[in-house]
Amino acid sequence: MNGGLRQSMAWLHTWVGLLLGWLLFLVFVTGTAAYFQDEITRWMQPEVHGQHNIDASAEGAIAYLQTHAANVEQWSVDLPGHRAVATTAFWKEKGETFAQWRDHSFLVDGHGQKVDARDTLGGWRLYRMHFDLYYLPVLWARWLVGLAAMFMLVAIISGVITHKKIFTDFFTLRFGKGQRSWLDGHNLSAVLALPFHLMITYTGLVTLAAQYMPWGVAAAYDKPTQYYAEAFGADEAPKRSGRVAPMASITAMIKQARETWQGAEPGYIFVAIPGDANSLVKLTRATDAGMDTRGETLTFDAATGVMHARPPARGGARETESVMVGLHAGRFSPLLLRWLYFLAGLTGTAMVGTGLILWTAKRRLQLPDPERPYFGFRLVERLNVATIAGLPFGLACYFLANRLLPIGLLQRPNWETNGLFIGWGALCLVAIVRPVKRAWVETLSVAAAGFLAVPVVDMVTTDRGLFVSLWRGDVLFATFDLVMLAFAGLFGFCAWKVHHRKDVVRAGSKKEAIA
Amino acid sequence: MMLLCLLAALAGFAALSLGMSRHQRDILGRILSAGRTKGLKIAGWVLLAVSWAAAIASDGAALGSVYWIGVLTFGALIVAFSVTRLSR
Amino acid sequence: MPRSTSNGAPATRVARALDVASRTVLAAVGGYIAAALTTAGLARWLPIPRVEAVVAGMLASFAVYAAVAIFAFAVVRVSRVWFWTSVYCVPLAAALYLAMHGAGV
Repeated sequence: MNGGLRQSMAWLHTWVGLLLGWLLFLVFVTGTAAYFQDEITRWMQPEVHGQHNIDASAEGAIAYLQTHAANVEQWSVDLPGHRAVATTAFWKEKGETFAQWRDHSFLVDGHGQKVDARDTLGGWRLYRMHFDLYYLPVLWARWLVGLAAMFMLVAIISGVITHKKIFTDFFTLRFGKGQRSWLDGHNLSAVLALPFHLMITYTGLVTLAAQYMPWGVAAAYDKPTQYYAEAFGADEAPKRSGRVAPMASITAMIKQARETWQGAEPGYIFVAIPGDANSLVKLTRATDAGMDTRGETLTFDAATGVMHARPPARGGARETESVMVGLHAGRFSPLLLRWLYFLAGLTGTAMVGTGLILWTAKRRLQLPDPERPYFGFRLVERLNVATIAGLPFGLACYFLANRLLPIGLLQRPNWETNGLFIGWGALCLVAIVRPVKRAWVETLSVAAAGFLAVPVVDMVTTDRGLFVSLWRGDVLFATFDLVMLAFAGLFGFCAWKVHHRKDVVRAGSKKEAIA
Repeated sequence: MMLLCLLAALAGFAALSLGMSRHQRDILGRILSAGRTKGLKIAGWVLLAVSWAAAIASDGAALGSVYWIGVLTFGALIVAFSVTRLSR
Repeated sequence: MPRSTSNGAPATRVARALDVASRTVLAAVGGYIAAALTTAGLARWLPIPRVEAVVAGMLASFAVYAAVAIFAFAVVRVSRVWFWTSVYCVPLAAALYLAMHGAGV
């Protein structure tokens, strides 16, 4: 350890952290929200009632498919996880791609009845934005996110090695001291959740390892398809016999699957060439049924309901991979642990946010002319406002759009997402045109107003508003609205703090602010 | 058991924070003797271990450990904010 | 304080910038190459079923990447890091090339 090392590591941390910080902020915010993606989806589909019920859902979906899509290539039924209610099912006709599935997808509620809920992607959209971003080709987006994750891994390790001080500063948080406070906040949010940060970063890379590190497949296999066949089972499609055969009871197959998996539920049903005597049914174990999230797939003869031999068990490496991905996504997690995951995610968000602000706090003191900061400084300052206040406001807009857009709107889910970016973009404009301190106050206030509006609009536009939910004991809807109010309070508090902040940075200065 | 896990983590972090001279100065207004400081540090680590044991007893080694890490973050956060409040 | 050097003479500033740039390239590109070669090597030569070996290689790769990146910034003389990273990568690459296109190890 020497000065040079510390300096070059600090350089790396500062500049790469700055460049990737805004992206990491988005990744943390959407990822944290995605821990409640099923709950968000439920809130965004207030038309769906009933309780989680796998048997009723599966029977209802299959019955609907048998009546309305008897002679197609395949059926897919995405069963609800243990926190969800609705089932999404769809069919694929000959020659169609999976991209067209939304044209014939439908929703089944907890009673097994088809429901016409508003069209939305709910929490799933936020979950995908966590690594696919939006408006960008998915592959590029994932490379960008991977780069940010890799940097974060290096930043965490180098931080621990070089900054011995972060451990002597443990539990230290000094408020109202400008740069010192931001540094405390940055260190504290990094160190307190250090095991989480390490876990989440490494396992995050692992979730997309097949894209980031395809070289193992290239070295050991002639063709990638061979690897996928060995890893996930060869998927040779059954041949049509031309003979019609009714499908055996899906409930019986599910029962058999449960017995095979010691009680774990199926999460996904796939039926190839339904109605034919050679038709096959595949049941995949639910991703939330264990810490190892990659569930086994069982195959049944559709006509007889007889189960085929189980696929060979995974070895240690693939089991480890499955657990790592499971730990990252936390699907297995019971509710209490889920809140801890959420809290850790917020801590990560705070780490990135305070880091971004720290960059400016540190440099504000050294500005040659504080009245006219150089371009780069102003750019970072504005981007910070735009990201830290703007993105959360975008989320509020996403929820508001869900309630306010016309039900029959074409491409409704995409317009909900556009709503997110329109709201975010509007605050970006505010961040650019207003004096920086005013920009903070105004954008934070707008974000607070946005979150405050969510339960209000919910109350006006649905029959599941906060008071009704509390009265009926609808914990999920009530909690969602209360969390929105909590965020409104948080942003309002921040706006108030910035508004009343004396310019501690330049002690002795008579000027109110740069504004 | 989960409550014990949280309480032990809180007590453990509280002991560890009081085992640091800066916080002794800020909270107690004086520096404790070397022996006491050492005692606090040991107590802190032991309590964190107890917290882990409670989590494992409650939910098994795998799930319990994940719980424990979450509880540690939560507990440390509470202690950090309390230390800030109590500091003079 | 990353900015503390900016007061130095221009020559040292350029030298420092080059030093940091060299480390950054090494960490980002060299780290990836080392990780990719490790993954490929493990996938090919680990004595377990190859589908497992491929996954084991993937799991290990990010640790290798991170280690090289840290190494690139931890060692005083950057030329040393270039040297040792090459010592790791070149024979591994050669062996892999031979295994896949040559004698078939």
